[in-house]
Amino acid sequence: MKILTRQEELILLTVHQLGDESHLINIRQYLIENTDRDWSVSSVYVPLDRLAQIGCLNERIGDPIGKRGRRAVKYYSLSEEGKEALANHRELTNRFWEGLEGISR
Amino acid sequence: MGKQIPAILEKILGLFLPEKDREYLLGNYEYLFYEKENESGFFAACLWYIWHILKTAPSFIIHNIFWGGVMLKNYLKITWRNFIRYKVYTGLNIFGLAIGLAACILIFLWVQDELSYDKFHSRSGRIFRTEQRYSYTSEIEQWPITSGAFGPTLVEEYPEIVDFTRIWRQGYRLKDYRNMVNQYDIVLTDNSIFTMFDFNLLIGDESTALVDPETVVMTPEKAKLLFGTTDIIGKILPVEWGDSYIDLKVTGLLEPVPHNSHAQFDIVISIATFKDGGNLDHFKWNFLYTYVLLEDNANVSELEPKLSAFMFKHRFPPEALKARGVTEDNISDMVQLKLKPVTSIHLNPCDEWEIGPQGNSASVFMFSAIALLILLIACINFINLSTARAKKKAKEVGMRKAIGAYTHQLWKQFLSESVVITLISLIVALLFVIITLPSFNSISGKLLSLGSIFNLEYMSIIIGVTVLTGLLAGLYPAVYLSSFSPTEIFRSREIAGGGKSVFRRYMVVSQFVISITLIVSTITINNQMEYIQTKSLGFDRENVIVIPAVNKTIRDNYNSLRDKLLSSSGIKYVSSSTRTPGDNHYGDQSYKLSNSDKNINLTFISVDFDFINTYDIQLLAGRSFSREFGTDTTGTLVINEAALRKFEIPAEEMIGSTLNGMKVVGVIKDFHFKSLHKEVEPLVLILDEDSVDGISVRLSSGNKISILKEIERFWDEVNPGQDFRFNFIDERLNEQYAAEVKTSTLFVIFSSLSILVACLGLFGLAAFTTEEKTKEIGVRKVLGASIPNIFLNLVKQFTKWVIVANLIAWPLAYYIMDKWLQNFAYRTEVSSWTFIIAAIVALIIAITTVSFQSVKAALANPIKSLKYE
Repeated sequence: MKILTRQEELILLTVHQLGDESHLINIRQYLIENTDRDWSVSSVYVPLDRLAQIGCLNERIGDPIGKRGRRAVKYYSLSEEGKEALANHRELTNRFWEGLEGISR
Repeated sequence: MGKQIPAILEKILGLFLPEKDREYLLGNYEYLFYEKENESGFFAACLWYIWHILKTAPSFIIHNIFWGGVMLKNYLKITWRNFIRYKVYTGLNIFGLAIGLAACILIFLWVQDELSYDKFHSRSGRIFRTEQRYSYTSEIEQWPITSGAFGPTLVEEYPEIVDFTRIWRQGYRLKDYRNMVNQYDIVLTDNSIFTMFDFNLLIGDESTALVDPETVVMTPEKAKLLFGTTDIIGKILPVEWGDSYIDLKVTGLLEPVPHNSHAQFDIVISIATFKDGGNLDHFKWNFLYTYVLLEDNANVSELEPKLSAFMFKHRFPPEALKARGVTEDNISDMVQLKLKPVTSIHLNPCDEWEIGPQGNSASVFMFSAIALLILLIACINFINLSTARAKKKAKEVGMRKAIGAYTHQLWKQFLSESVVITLISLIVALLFVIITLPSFNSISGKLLSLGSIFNLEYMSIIIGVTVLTGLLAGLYPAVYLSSFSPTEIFRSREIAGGGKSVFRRYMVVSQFVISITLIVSTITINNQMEYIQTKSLGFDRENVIVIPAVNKTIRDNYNSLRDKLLSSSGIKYVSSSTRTPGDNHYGDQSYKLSNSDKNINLTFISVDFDFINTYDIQLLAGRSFSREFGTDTTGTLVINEAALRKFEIPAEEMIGSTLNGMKVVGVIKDFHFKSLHKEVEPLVLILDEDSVDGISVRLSSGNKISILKEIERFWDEVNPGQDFRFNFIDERLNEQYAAEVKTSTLFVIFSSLSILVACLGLFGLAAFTTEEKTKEIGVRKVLGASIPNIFLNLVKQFTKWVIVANLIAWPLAYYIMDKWLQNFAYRTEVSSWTFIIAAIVALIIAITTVSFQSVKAALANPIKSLKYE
């Protein structure tokens, strides 16, 4: 079973949240906005690339966007394996959280 | 959003990014660029982008090397598979290249050795040999020999000249530790031979060893011979001097002279030893070699003209020149003292009186040319065989291209294939060299060792040349093969363009041009050698032996020896003379003839009555010396045709005229008393029964061994205790051409090798052509063609090429050989049958090579070749 790191978990979830718009730049943007922390490009790209390599993410090269001659970028989406990894991760976390359900901010 | 990314920046970054990821990575960078632009402006964004380009570069380089390695591994794998699959052609390729490379390596070593002469002296750039050059007659003469006073006087009068060494070559008779007396080749020099040159003593003081008179040093080898031991310092060596012996003191053990020294010697006596004889302090006779050491920064071209004055002052007063009828003003050009760098003596020796056998710059050039030609032929083979395989390779090329190989990747593949082949050939070539080096040494007379190949410098040159050869040979196939378009290859069976076969034809034709030129050259060179060795010399060289009269006892006993010899039936004539054919003739002198105003340089030989008979020299006019004329002993001469021509008077007038007070009684036909390199010079034979330096004996043509035994018996009776030494005149004359014979043998070997390499290529090519025609042959046979028919059809096209090659090669070969023959005063013509032989040889070689394949193809069963249609 793959144990995801915190970074990887967040990235996988972000890919899920962004849906069709999940490419590197958007993922990073989303992470920065929601975690209120500065994510460098490489701190996003490296785990993203790893996740794609171990099969948790599917890759797809997008079409170039017509306006201003923008180039194509690589889009990611959750694969079955990625979903399974997330599910496993959640179960694991829950097990570790047992008895502390009442805690809140 | 503001401005767009400068396109150039994107291009540069694109170069560094891996191809498969390039597009979207650039896309990502584009997003980030705009983000930066929004934050801090266009300029900062550009800077940021440039920074990222720089950051990408290192990983790009590492990436490239890594994948380059991966691809190289793949290329090597494919190369290896190709080898296995086409064993014969790979074998032919490797074998041909290996022979070519081996020949090149041998020639390279030989040339290196020739060029290395005298470079081992640490002051070699400052050491020069003085040579006298006279051009007041129609012939220009340059002599390496000088008289003893040259060296000391030069040092005294010219501040640029720092030191001098004189070397005098002589034969002396030494008494060894068993009291045996034998003649040895000895050198007399100044002690500066150790300080100026880099000749060394193994034991002994180099600064004083040869300063005192009557001192001697020798190599360990000679020490063993003369003393039976190398522990010789302080021992006494008796040398025969006149009628008695002088005791020489051994002061050192000489390190053997390097083989690449132009002067070779193993026993050295101090030149001071014979100073008392009054032989040295004059400018009269030339007999020794003078070497001078110039100042560190001396300018030779400035010094040389100044030396004419030296010559006029000491050697040759201008009045003497005027007395010889020279009236021109530029007399300083006519008498010169040249300084020849010690390093160039070996390859640019003087024509006469050289210190020992020397090399020849022409043969260095000739062999270098042959090495290049052999390599060229091997390269052409490679190109031909590779392009001939194009059809088979085409599928591979098409497939690679279809999968996405770039043209430059295919180049790399083919080039690495050819480099691998040449490197394998190099290994094979080195094996060849190792195997053949001993025989090469014995043919060329060199002492090349394996150690001299396997040093870093030569090895890197050899490997460099090999790789370069591989690249050159692979270049055309690489460009040609990688130019195929994949759609063409897969759509049609035929590869586009007959152009390739035209190119291949040019290649084969040029190979044959080279081969035929070499065949013609080889035959001509051999002809010339043959010609020299068998040319009528104007005398009968067979069955004559010469016994050198090396001391007074032998000279005194000459008459009784002659009477005894003549009593034998096996001996026809015996005569004595000062010189015998093949000697160097010293002491040309100018003489005036009584009834002509001309002064002619004449060579004098003193002979006795039977000299002309002994050598069977033809008489042109007048008579020979004869005992019947009692007056002959009072000063009579016989001159040769060359002298007659110089005097420009008819023979009838010549007879009876006087020369320097002596009467001319006959004119003989020219005979070659020197080497055939030179024309016959004017010669005078003087009757003088008392000067016995050589005894010539004409044997009858019977059993030589028994006659020689008889002569030896007479010798021992007349000269007890003296060694009986002799040599046959024809053998001695042939020694003069030993260098040329060696050169021509090597030439024959190397040109045969190049022809062999060319044949290998032709063989491979023929195999491919016939293979391509398998179907055609099948159809022809089915339609009723006979086997000879098919055979002729196949041979025809190759024959055509060979004939074209002949037409190109003939004028080329004629031109080259005509030039070469100019080196000889007496030479054969480049005869027309040489060309015909070369043409026939080339045709036979081509047809034999091709017919092997053709017969196979013609005999094959058509069913087999047509079955799969």
